[in-house]
Amino acid sequence: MLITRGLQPGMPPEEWNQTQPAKVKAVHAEYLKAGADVIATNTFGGTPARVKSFGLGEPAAQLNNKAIRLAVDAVDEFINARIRADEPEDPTASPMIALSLGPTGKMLPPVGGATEDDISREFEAQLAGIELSADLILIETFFDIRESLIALKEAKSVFPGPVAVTMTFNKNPRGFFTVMGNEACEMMKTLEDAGADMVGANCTLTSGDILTLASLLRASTDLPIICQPNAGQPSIRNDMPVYDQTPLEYADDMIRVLDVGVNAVGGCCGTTPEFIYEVFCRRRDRGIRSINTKEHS
Amino acid sequence: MREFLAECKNAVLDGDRERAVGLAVRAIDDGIEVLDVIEQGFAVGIREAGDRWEKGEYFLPELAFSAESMKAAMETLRPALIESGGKGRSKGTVVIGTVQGDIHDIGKMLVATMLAANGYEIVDLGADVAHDRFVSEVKNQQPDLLCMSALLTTTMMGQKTIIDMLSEAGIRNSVKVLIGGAPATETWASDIGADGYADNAVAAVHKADEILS
Repeated sequence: MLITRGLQPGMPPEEWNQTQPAKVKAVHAEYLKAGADVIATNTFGGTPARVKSFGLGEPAAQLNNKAIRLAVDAVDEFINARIRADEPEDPTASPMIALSLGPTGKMLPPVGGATEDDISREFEAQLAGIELSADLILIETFFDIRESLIALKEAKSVFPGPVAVTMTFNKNPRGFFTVMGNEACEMMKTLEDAGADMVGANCTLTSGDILTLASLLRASTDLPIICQPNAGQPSIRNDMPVYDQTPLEYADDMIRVLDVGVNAVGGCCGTTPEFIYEVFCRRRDRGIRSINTKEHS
Repeated sequence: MREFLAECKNAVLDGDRERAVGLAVRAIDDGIEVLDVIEQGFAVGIREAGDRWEKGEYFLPELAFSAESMKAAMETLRPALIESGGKGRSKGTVVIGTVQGDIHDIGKMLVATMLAANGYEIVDLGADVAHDRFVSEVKNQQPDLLCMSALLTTTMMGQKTIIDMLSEAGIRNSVKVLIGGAPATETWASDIGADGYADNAVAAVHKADEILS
Protein backbone atom coordinates (compact mmCIF):
# COMPACT_ATOMS: atom_id res chain seq x y z
CA MET A 1 0.00 0.00 0.00
CA LEU A 2 2.82 2.38 0.82
CA ILE A 3 4.89 1.20 -2.15
CA THR A 4 2.08 2.12 -4.53
CA ARG A 5 2.15 5.54 -2.86
CA GLY A 6 5.83 5.97 -3.57
CA LEU A 7 7.73 4.24 -0.75
CA GLN A 8 11.07 3.44 -2.37
CA PRO A 9 12.60 -0.05 -2.29
CA GLY A 10 14.84 -0.32 0.72
CA MET A 11 13.21 2.45 2.69
CA PRO A 12 11.60 1.59 6.03
CA PRO A 13 7.80 2.01 6.09
CA GLU A 14 8.04 3.34 9.66
CA GLU A 15 9.92 6.41 8.43
CA TRP A 16 6.71 7.59 6.81
CA ASN A 17 5.11 8.08 10.23
CA GLN A 18 7.50 11.00 10.42
CA THR A 19 7.93 12.14 6.83
CA GLN A 20 4.65 11.23 5.10
CA PRO A 21 2.01 11.10 7.84
CA ALA A 22 -0.83 12.04 5.48
CA LYS A 23 -0.12 9.04 3.28
CA VAL A 24 -0.03 6.63 6.23
CA LYS A 25 -3.32 8.04 7.49
CA ALA A 26 -4.83 7.75 4.01
CA VAL A 27 -4.04 4.03 3.99
CA HIS A 28 -5.80 3.61 7.35
CA ALA A 29 -8.78 5.51 5.94
CA GLU A 30 -9.00 3.19 2.96
CA TYR A 31 -9.13 0.11 5.17
CA LEU A 32 -11.73 1.70 7.44
CA LYS A 33 -13.82 2.53 4.38
CA ALA A 34 -13.44 -1.08 3.22
CA GLY A 35 -15.12 -2.19 6.44
CA ALA A 36 -12.21 -3.17 8.69
CA ASP A 37 -13.15 -3.37 12.37
CA VAL A 38 -9.51 -3.25 13.39
CA ILE A 39 -6.61 -1.39 11.80
CA ALA A 40 -2.96 -2.07 12.60
CA THR A 41 -0.44 0.69 13.23
CA ASN A 42 2.58 1.23 10.97
CA THR A 43 5.00 0.00 13.63
CA PHE A 44 5.87 -3.55 12.55
CA GLY A 45 9.58 -2.72 12.28
CA GLY A 46 9.60 -0.21 15.12
CA THR A 47 12.14 -1.76 17.46
CA PRO A 48 15.24 0.37 18.14
CA ALA A 49 17.53 -2.11 16.33
CA ARG A 50 15.57 -1.69 13.13
CA VAL A 51 14.88 2.01 13.49
CA LYS A 52 18.57 2.59 14.12
CA SER A 53 19.72 0.37 11.27
CA PHE A 54 17.66 2.51 8.94
CA GLY A 55 19.35 5.62 10.29
CA LEU A 56 16.11 7.21 11.41
CA GLY A 57 16.90 10.13 13.64
CA GLU A 58 14.10 9.60 16.08
CA PRO A 59 13.88 7.36 19.14
CA ALA A 60 11.77 4.28 18.48
CA ALA A 61 9.07 5.14 21.02
CA GLN A 62 8.45 8.55 19.44
CA LEU A 63 8.12 7.07 15.98
CA ASN A 64 5.72 4.45 17.33
CA ASN A 65 3.66 7.09 19.12
CA LYS A 66 3.37 9.04 15.89
CA ALA A 67 2.09 5.88 14.21
CA ILE A 68 -0.53 5.34 16.92
CA ARG A 69 -1.60 8.97 16.64
CA LEU A 70 -2.10 8.57 12.86
CA ALA A 71 -4.33 5.52 13.41
CA VAL A 72 -6.32 7.32 16.13
CA ASP A 73 -6.79 10.35 13.87
CA ALA A 74 -7.90 8.14 10.98
CA VAL A 75 -10.50 6.44 13.19
CA ASP A 76 -11.73 9.80 14.57
CA GLU A 77 -12.12 11.24 11.09
CA PHE A 78 -13.89 8.09 9.94
CA ILE A 79 -16.40 8.24 12.81
CA ASN A 80 -17.00 11.97 12.36
CA ALA A 81 -17.70 11.46 8.67
CA ARG A 82 -20.18 8.73 9.55
CA ILE A 83 -21.92 10.92 12.09
CA ARG A 84 -22.16 13.76 9.57
CA ALA A 85 -23.60 11.36 6.99
CA ASP A 86 -26.04 10.13 9.64
CA GLU A 87 -25.54 6.51 8.66
CA PRO A 88 -28.34 4.20 9.77
CA GLU A 89 -26.16 1.70 11.66
CA ASP A 90 -24.68 3.05 14.89
CA PRO A 91 -22.46 5.78 13.47
CA THR A 92 -20.46 6.10 16.68
CA ALA A 93 -19.36 2.43 16.79
CA SER A 94 -15.59 2.72 16.86
CA PRO A 95 -13.14 0.57 14.88
CA MET A 96 -10.27 -0.68 17.01
CA ILE A 97 -6.55 -0.02 16.76
CA ALA A 98 -3.97 -2.78 17.03
CA LEU A 99 -0.40 -1.82 17.84
CA SER A 100 1.64 -4.02 15.51
CA LEU A 101 4.91 -5.51 16.80
CA GLY A 102 7.19 -7.50 14.48
CA PRO A 103 10.33 -9.56 15.18
CA THR A 104 13.51 -7.66 16.05
CA GLY A 105 15.57 -9.30 13.32
CA LYS A 106 18.03 -10.42 16.01
CA MET A 107 18.46 -14.19 16.19
CA LEU A 108 18.90 -16.36 19.24
CA PRO A 109 21.39 -19.26 19.17
CA PRO A 110 22.11 -21.51 17.40
CA VAL A 111 21.13 -19.45 14.37
CA GLY A 112 22.29 -16.08 15.70
CA GLY A 113 24.27 -14.63 18.58
CA ALA A 114 21.64 -12.52 20.36
CA THR A 115 20.71 -13.19 23.97
CA GLU A 116 17.19 -13.19 25.39
CA ASP A 117 18.13 -10.00 27.27
CA ASP A 118 19.10 -8.28 23.99
CA ILE A 119 15.67 -9.05 22.60
CA SER A 120 13.84 -8.04 25.80
CA ARG A 121 15.57 -4.69 25.67
CA GLU A 122 14.41 -4.12 22.08
CA PHE A 123 10.74 -4.58 22.91
CA GLU A 124 11.10 -2.75 26.21
CA ALA A 125 12.50 0.26 24.34
CA GLN A 126 9.89 0.06 21.59
CA LEU A 127 7.13 0.11 24.20
CA ALA A 128 8.73 2.60 26.60
CA GLY A 129 6.57 5.67 26.92
CA ILE A 130 4.12 4.37 24.36
CA GLU A 131 0.67 5.94 24.39
CA LEU A 132 -1.87 3.45 25.59
CA SER A 133 -4.55 4.52 23.16
CA ALA A 134 -4.33 1.32 21.11
CA ASP A 135 -7.10 -1.22 21.84
CA LEU A 136 -4.85 -4.23 21.60
CA ILE A 137 -1.28 -5.21 20.87
CA LEU A 138 -0.76 -7.50 17.88
CA ILE A 139 2.51 -9.40 18.00
CA GLU A 140 2.76 -10.83 14.49
CA THR A 141 4.90 -12.77 12.00
CA PHE A 142 7.11 -14.36 14.67
CA PHE A 143 8.90 -17.61 13.87
CA ASP A 144 10.88 -18.35 17.03
CA ILE A 145 8.64 -19.13 19.99
CA ARG A 146 11.29 -17.82 22.38
CA GLU A 147 11.16 -14.38 20.79
CA SER A 148 7.33 -14.48 20.76
CA LEU A 149 7.29 -15.18 24.48
CA ILE A 150 9.69 -12.32 25.19
CA ALA A 151 7.54 -9.89 23.16
CA LEU A 152 4.41 -11.14 24.92
CA LYS A 153 5.98 -10.68 28.34
CA GLU A 154 7.16 -7.15 27.55
CA ALA A 155 3.78 -6.21 26.06
CA LYS A 156 1.92 -7.55 29.09
CA SER A 157 4.17 -5.68 31.47
CA VAL A 158 3.20 -2.26 30.10
CA PHE A 159 -0.16 -2.75 28.40
CA PRO A 160 -3.36 -3.43 30.35
CA GLY A 161 -5.42 -4.43 27.29
CA PRO A 162 -5.50 -7.68 25.32
CA VAL A 163 -2.35 -8.96 23.63
CA ALA A 164 -2.61 -11.17 20.53
CA VAL A 165 0.29 -13.28 19.22
CA THR A 166 0.32 -14.74 15.72
CA MET A 167 3.22 -16.71 14.29
CA THR A 168 4.14 -17.49 10.71
CA PHE A 169 4.13 -21.11 9.62
CA ASN A 170 5.34 -22.98 6.57
CA LYS A 171 3.54 -26.04 5.25
CA ASN A 172 5.84 -29.03 4.95
CA PRO A 173 5.22 -32.74 4.40
CA ARG A 174 4.84 -33.26 8.15
CA GLY A 175 2.49 -30.37 8.92
CA PHE A 176 2.77 -26.69 9.79
CA PHE A 177 6.00 -25.48 11.38
CA THR A 178 7.87 -22.22 11.74
CA VAL A 179 11.25 -22.09 10.06
CA MET A 180 12.71 -22.85 13.52
CA GLY A 181 10.70 -26.04 13.76
CA ASN A 182 8.01 -24.80 16.17
CA GLU A 183 4.88 -26.87 15.46
CA ALA A 184 1.74 -24.75 15.02
CA CYS A 185 -0.68 -26.42 17.47
CA GLU A 186 1.95 -26.76 20.19
CA MET A 187 2.71 -23.05 19.80
CA MET A 188 -0.93 -22.10 20.38
CA LYS A 189 -0.88 -24.02 23.67
CA THR A 190 2.47 -22.56 24.70
CA LEU A 191 1.24 -19.01 24.01
CA GLU A 192 -2.01 -19.68 25.83
CA ASP A 193 -0.08 -20.91 28.89
CA ALA A 194 2.09 -17.78 28.74
CA GLY A 195 -0.95 -15.52 28.98
CA ALA A 196 -1.74 -14.50 25.38
CA ASP A 197 -5.32 -13.30 24.94
CA MET A 198 -5.59 -14.26 21.29
CA VAL A 199 -3.38 -16.52 19.17
CA GLY A 200 -3.12 -17.47 15.52
CA ALA A 201 -1.20 -17.43 12.26
CA ASN A 202 -0.27 -14.76 9.71
CA CYS A 203 1.86 -14.19 6.60
CA THR A 204 3.67 -16.81 4.44
CA LEU A 205 0.65 -19.03 3.76
CA THR A 206 -2.09 -18.43 1.19
CA SER A 207 -5.74 -18.33 2.21
CA GLY A 208 -6.17 -21.94 1.01
CA ASP A 209 -3.35 -23.23 3.22
CA ILE A 210 -4.48 -21.15 6.17
CA LEU A 211 -7.88 -22.86 5.86
CA THR A 212 -6.22 -26.26 6.39
CA LEU A 213 -4.26 -24.86 9.31
CA ALA A 214 -7.30 -23.11 10.84
CA SER A 215 -9.14 -26.29 11.81
CA LEU A 216 -5.97 -27.69 13.41
CA LEU A 217 -5.51 -24.48 15.40
CA ARG A 218 -9.15 -24.48 16.47
CA ALA A 219 -8.76 -27.93 17.99
CA SER A 220 -5.62 -26.90 19.88
CA THR A 221 -6.83 -23.99 22.04
CA ASP A 222 -9.94 -22.41 23.55
CA LEU A 223 -8.57 -18.90 23.04
CA PRO A 224 -9.91 -16.65 20.28
CA ILE A 225 -7.98 -17.28 17.06
CA ILE A 226 -6.83 -14.78 14.40
CA CYS A 227 -5.85 -15.80 10.86
CA GLN A 228 -4.25 -13.33 8.43
CA PRO A 229 -2.79 -15.06 5.35
CA ASN A 230 -1.11 -13.46 2.34
CA ALA A 231 -3.00 -12.83 -0.89
CA GLY A 232 -1.13 -15.71 -2.55
CA GLN A 233 2.38 -15.49 -3.97
CA PRO A 234 4.01 -12.25 -5.09
CA SER A 235 5.13 -11.37 -8.60
CA ILE A 236 5.86 -8.09 -10.33
CA ARG A 237 3.58 -6.13 -12.66
CA ASN A 238 4.48 -2.65 -13.88
CA ASP A 239 7.31 -2.44 -11.38
CA MET A 240 4.99 -3.16 -8.44
CA PRO A 241 4.74 -6.34 -6.41
CA VAL A 242 1.34 -7.96 -6.87
CA TYR A 243 -0.07 -11.13 -5.34
CA ASP A 244 -1.76 -13.84 -7.36
CA GLN A 245 -5.03 -14.40 -5.49
CA THR A 246 -8.18 -12.42 -6.29
CA PRO A 247 -10.24 -10.73 -3.57
CA LEU A 248 -13.10 -13.13 -4.37
CA GLU A 249 -11.04 -16.31 -3.98
CA TYR A 250 -9.54 -14.92 -0.82
CA ALA A 251 -12.88 -13.95 0.72
CA ASP A 252 -14.31 -17.38 -0.13
CA ASP A 253 -11.52 -19.07 1.81
CA MET A 254 -11.75 -16.63 4.71
CA ILE A 255 -15.47 -17.35 5.15
CA ARG A 256 -14.61 -21.03 5.46
CA VAL A 257 -11.88 -20.10 7.95
CA LEU A 258 -14.55 -18.38 10.06
CA ASP A 259 -16.82 -21.40 9.64
CA VAL A 260 -14.27 -23.71 11.26
CA GLY A 261 -14.40 -21.51 14.34
CA VAL A 262 -11.70 -18.90 13.84
CA ASN A 263 -12.75 -15.66 15.55
CA ALA A 264 -11.07 -12.93 13.56
CA VAL A 265 -9.80 -12.83 10.00
CA GLY A 266 -7.80 -10.25 8.13
CA GLY A 267 -4.99 -9.98 5.67
CA CYS A 268 -1.22 -9.81 5.52
CA CYS A 269 1.04 -9.17 2.50
CA GLY A 270 -0.85 -8.21 -0.66
CA THR A 271 -4.29 -7.86 0.91
CA THR A 272 -5.32 -4.46 -0.40
CA PRO A 273 -8.58 -2.82 0.78
CA GLU A 274 -10.42 -4.70 -2.01
CA PHE A 275 -9.66 -7.98 -0.22
CA ILE A 276 -10.87 -6.67 3.12
CA TYR A 277 -13.97 -5.22 1.47
CA GLU A 278 -14.87 -8.62 -0.05
CA VAL A 279 -14.44 -10.30 3.32
CA PHE A 280 -16.47 -7.52 4.96
CA CYS A 281 -19.34 -7.95 2.48
CA ARG A 282 -19.54 -11.69 3.07
CA ARG A 283 -19.37 -11.31 6.81
CA ARG A 284 -21.63 -8.31 7.20
CA ASP A 285 -24.62 -10.30 8.39
CA ARG A 286 -22.73 -12.55 10.76
CA GLY A 287 -21.30 -9.76 12.89
CA ILE A 288 -17.77 -11.15 13.10
CA ARG A 289 -14.88 -8.77 13.15
CA SER A 290 -12.27 -8.56 10.43
CA ILE A 291 -8.76 -7.28 10.85
CA ASN A 292 -6.41 -5.82 8.34
CA THR A 293 -2.74 -5.26 8.86
CA LYS A 294 0.48 -4.83 6.94
CA GLU A 295 -0.34 -1.60 5.33
CA HIS A 296 3.30 -1.32 4.40
CA SER A 297 3.04 -4.37 2.14
CA MET B 1 37.83 -46.73 6.54
CA ARG B 2 34.15 -47.00 5.74
CA GLU B 3 33.39 -46.74 9.42
CA PHE B 4 35.53 -43.62 9.73
CA LEU B 5 33.75 -41.95 6.81
CA ALA B 6 30.39 -42.81 8.36
CA GLU B 7 31.56 -41.17 11.58
CA CYS B 8 32.44 -38.02 9.63
CA LYS B 9 29.04 -38.02 7.97
CA ASN B 10 27.24 -38.48 11.29
CA ALA B 11 29.20 -35.74 13.05
CA VAL B 12 27.91 -33.25 10.46
CA LEU B 13 24.42 -34.74 10.42
CA ASP B 14 24.23 -34.50 14.22
CA GLY B 15 25.58 -30.96 14.05
CA ASP B 16 28.40 -31.85 16.44
CA ARG B 17 31.11 -29.33 15.64
CA GLU B 18 33.67 -30.62 18.11
CA ARG B 19 33.33 -34.18 16.88
CA ALA B 20 33.61 -33.01 13.26
CA VAL B 21 36.80 -31.06 13.96
CA GLY B 22 38.21 -33.98 15.96
CA LEU B 23 37.61 -36.34 13.05
CA ALA B 24 39.18 -33.86 10.61
CA VAL B 25 42.30 -33.68 12.79
CA ARG B 26 42.42 -37.48 12.98
CA ALA B 27 42.12 -37.75 9.21
CA ILE B 28 45.15 -35.48 8.77
CA ASP B 29 47.16 -37.24 11.51
CA ASP B 30 46.40 -40.66 10.05
CA GLY B 31 47.23 -39.46 6.53
CA ILE B 32 43.85 -40.31 5.10
CA GLU B 33 43.15 -38.86 1.63
CA VAL B 34 41.55 -35.51 2.44
CA LEU B 35 39.34 -35.40 -0.62
CA ASP B 36 37.84 -38.77 0.26
CA VAL B 37 37.15 -37.60 3.79
CA ILE B 38 35.30 -34.59 2.44
CA GLU B 39 33.44 -36.12 -0.46
CA GLN B 40 32.57 -39.49 1.04
CA GLY B 41 32.32 -38.34 4.64
CA PHE B 42 31.49 -34.80 5.72
CA ALA B 43 29.81 -33.74 2.44
CA VAL B 44 27.51 -36.76 2.59
CA GLY B 45 26.44 -35.55 6.01
CA ILE B 46 25.64 -32.02 4.85
CA ARG B 47 23.72 -33.35 1.85
CA GLU B 48 21.68 -35.63 4.09
CA ALA B 49 21.00 -32.72 6.47
CA GLY B 50 19.72 -30.87 3.41
CA ASP B 51 17.49 -33.79 2.46
CA ARG B 52 16.07 -33.89 5.97
CA TRP B 53 15.36 -30.16 5.77
CA GLU B 54 13.46 -30.68 2.52
CA LYS B 55 11.45 -33.49 4.08
CA GLY B 56 10.53 -31.25 6.99
CA GLU B 57 12.53 -33.32 9.47
CA TYR B 58 15.24 -30.71 10.04
CA PHE B 59 14.65 -27.01 10.70
CA LEU B 60 16.90 -23.96 10.84
CA PRO B 61 18.57 -24.79 14.15
CA GLU B 62 19.52 -28.33 13.02
CA LEU B 63 20.65 -27.07 9.64
CA ALA B 64 22.65 -24.26 11.26
CA PHE B 65 24.43 -26.76 13.54
CA SER B 66 25.16 -29.10 10.61
CA ALA B 67 26.41 -26.29 8.39
CA GLU B 68 28.62 -24.97 11.20
CA SER B 69 30.11 -28.42 11.77
CA MET B 70 30.76 -28.84 8.06
CA LYS B 71 32.41 -25.43 7.87
CA ALA B 72 34.59 -26.13 10.90
CA ALA B 73 35.69 -29.48 9.47
CA MET B 74 36.49 -27.84 6.13
CA GLU B 75 38.55 -25.12 7.82
CA THR B 76 40.54 -27.78 9.64
CA LEU B 77 41.12 -29.71 6.44
CA ARG B 78 41.88 -26.73 4.19
CA PRO B 79 45.68 -26.56 4.75
CA ALA B 80 46.02 -30.26 4.02
CA LEU B 81 43.75 -29.88 1.03
CA ILE B 82 45.85 -27.07 -0.43
CA GLU B 83 49.02 -29.03 0.24
CA SER B 84 47.64 -31.99 -1.64
CA GLY B 85 47.05 -29.70 -4.64
CA GLY B 86 43.31 -29.67 -4.24
CA LYS B 87 43.27 -25.92 -3.53
CA GLY B 88 39.89 -26.30 -1.95
CA ARG B 89 38.50 -27.20 -5.37
CA SER B 90 36.40 -24.07 -5.45
CA LYS B 91 33.30 -24.46 -7.57
CA GLY B 92 33.19 -20.71 -8.08
CA THR B 93 33.06 -17.36 -6.31
CA VAL B 94 29.79 -16.11 -4.88
CA VAL B 95 28.97 -12.57 -3.78
CA ILE B 96 26.02 -12.66 -1.43
CA GLY B 97 24.02 -10.13 0.61
CA THR B 98 20.61 -8.99 1.84
CA VAL B 99 19.34 -5.93 -0.02
CA GLN B 100 19.14 -2.40 1.38
CA GLY B 101 16.42 -1.76 3.94
CA ASP B 102 16.36 -5.38 5.01
CA ILE B 103 18.29 -6.43 8.09
CA HIS B 104 17.33 -10.08 7.84
CA ASP B 105 20.54 -12.02 7.99
CA ILE B 106 19.44 -15.50 8.84
CA GLY B 107 18.42 -16.99 5.47
CA LYS B 108 21.28 -15.30 3.66
CA MET B 109 23.77 -16.49 6.27
CA LEU B 110 22.53 -20.03 5.93
CA VAL B 111 22.74 -19.93 2.13
CA ALA B 112 26.29 -18.57 2.44
CA THR B 113 27.24 -21.30 4.91
CA MET B 114 25.69 -24.06 2.83
CA LEU B 115 27.36 -22.80 -0.36
CA ALA B 116 30.71 -22.63 1.48
CA ALA B 117 30.13 -26.10 2.88
CA ASN B 118 29.55 -27.29 -0.66
CA GLY B 119 32.76 -25.88 -2.08
CA TYR B 120 32.04 -22.30 -3.13
CA GLU B 121 34.20 -19.30 -2.23
CA ILE B 122 31.97 -16.79 -0.46
CA VAL B 123 32.15 -13.01 -0.30
CA ASP B 124 29.45 -12.15 2.24
CA LEU B 125 28.43 -8.48 2.11
CA GLY B 126 26.13 -8.84 5.12
CA ALA B 127 22.64 -7.38 5.48
CA ASP B 128 21.15 -4.01 4.48
CA VAL B 129 23.59 -3.72 1.56
CA ALA B 130 23.24 -0.60 -0.62
CA HIS B 131 22.20 -1.24 -4.21
CA ASP B 132 25.33 0.29 -5.73
CA ARG B 133 27.56 -1.75 -3.42
CA PHE B 134 26.24 -4.95 -5.05
CA VAL B 135 27.14 -3.48 -8.44
CA SER B 136 30.63 -2.36 -7.39
CA GLU B 137 31.35 -5.72 -5.72
CA VAL B 138 30.37 -7.53 -8.92
CA LYS B 139 32.80 -5.26 -10.78
CA ASN B 140 35.61 -5.76 -8.28
CA GLN B 141 35.23 -9.40 -7.29
CA GLN B 142 34.11 -10.68 -10.70
CA PRO B 143 32.13 -13.48 -9.07
CA ASP B 144 30.52 -16.37 -10.92
CA LEU B 145 27.34 -15.89 -8.97
CA LEU B 146 25.52 -13.05 -7.23
CA CYS B 147 22.99 -14.03 -4.56
CA MET B 148 20.51 -11.48 -3.21
CA SER B 149 18.08 -12.03 -0.40
CA ALA B 150 15.03 -9.95 0.53
CA LEU B 151 12.67 -10.91 3.32
CA LEU B 152 10.16 -8.12 2.94
CA THR B 153 7.81 -7.19 0.14
CA THR B 154 9.05 -3.64 0.66
CA THR B 155 12.64 -4.64 -0.08
CA MET B 156 12.19 -7.27 -2.78
CA MET B 157 11.91 -4.49 -5.38
CA GLY B 158 15.57 -3.83 -4.60
CA GLN B 159 16.44 -7.14 -6.27
CA LYS B 160 15.00 -5.80 -9.51
CA THR B 161 16.70 -2.42 -9.10
CA ILE B 162 20.08 -4.10 -8.69
CA ILE B 163 19.62 -6.32 -11.74
CA ASP B 164 18.66 -3.24 -13.76
CA MET B 165 21.74 -1.43 -12.44
CA LEU B 166 23.95 -4.36 -13.49
CA SER B 167 22.47 -4.12 -17.00
CA GLU B 168 23.06 -0.37 -17.13
CA ALA B 169 26.66 -0.89 -16.02
CA GLY B 170 27.03 -3.42 -18.86
CA ILE B 171 28.02 -6.27 -16.52
CA ARG B 172 24.75 -8.17 -16.25
CA ASN B 173 26.02 -10.92 -18.55
CA SER B 174 29.25 -11.38 -16.64
CA VAL B 175 27.54 -12.93 -13.64
CA LYS B 176 24.67 -15.30 -12.88
CA VAL B 177 22.09 -13.96 -10.45
CA LEU B 178 20.25 -16.05 -7.91
CA ILE B 179 17.54 -14.55 -5.70
CA GLY B 180 15.81 -15.73 -2.56
CA GLY B 181 13.89 -14.66 0.52
CA ALA B 182 10.41 -15.30 1.86
CA PRO B 183 8.38 -13.23 -0.63
CA ALA B 184 10.43 -14.21 -3.71
CA THR B 185 9.19 -16.86 -6.12
CA GLU B 186 10.20 -18.50 -9.40
CA THR B 187 7.85 -16.14 -11.24
CA TRP B 188 9.33 -13.13 -9.48
CA ALA B 189 12.83 -14.30 -10.47
CA SER B 190 11.92 -14.56 -14.13
CA ASP B 191 9.95 -11.30 -14.05
CA ILE B 192 12.96 -9.34 -12.86
CA GLY B 193 15.45 -11.14 -15.08
CA ALA B 194 17.30 -13.22 -12.49
CA ASP B 195 18.84 -16.54 -13.54
CA GLY B 196 17.25 -18.50 -10.77
CA TYR B 197 15.36 -18.64 -7.52
CA ALA B 198 15.75 -20.83 -4.47
CA ASP B 199 13.40 -20.92 -1.53
CA ASN B 200 15.89 -22.35 0.95
CA ALA B 201 19.61 -22.87 1.51
CA VAL B 202 19.61 -26.44 0.24
CA ALA B 203 17.76 -25.49 -2.93
CA ALA B 204 20.22 -22.62 -3.36
CA VAL B 205 23.13 -25.08 -3.53
CA HIS B 206 21.29 -27.24 -6.11
CA LYS B 207 20.43 -24.15 -8.13
CA ALA B 208 23.98 -22.75 -7.96
CA ASP B 209 25.38 -26.11 -9.15
CA GLU B 210 22.82 -26.17 -11.95
CA ILE B 211 23.27 -22.66 -13.33
CA LEU B 212 27.06 -22.71 -13.09
CA SER B 213 27.48 -26.14 -14.63
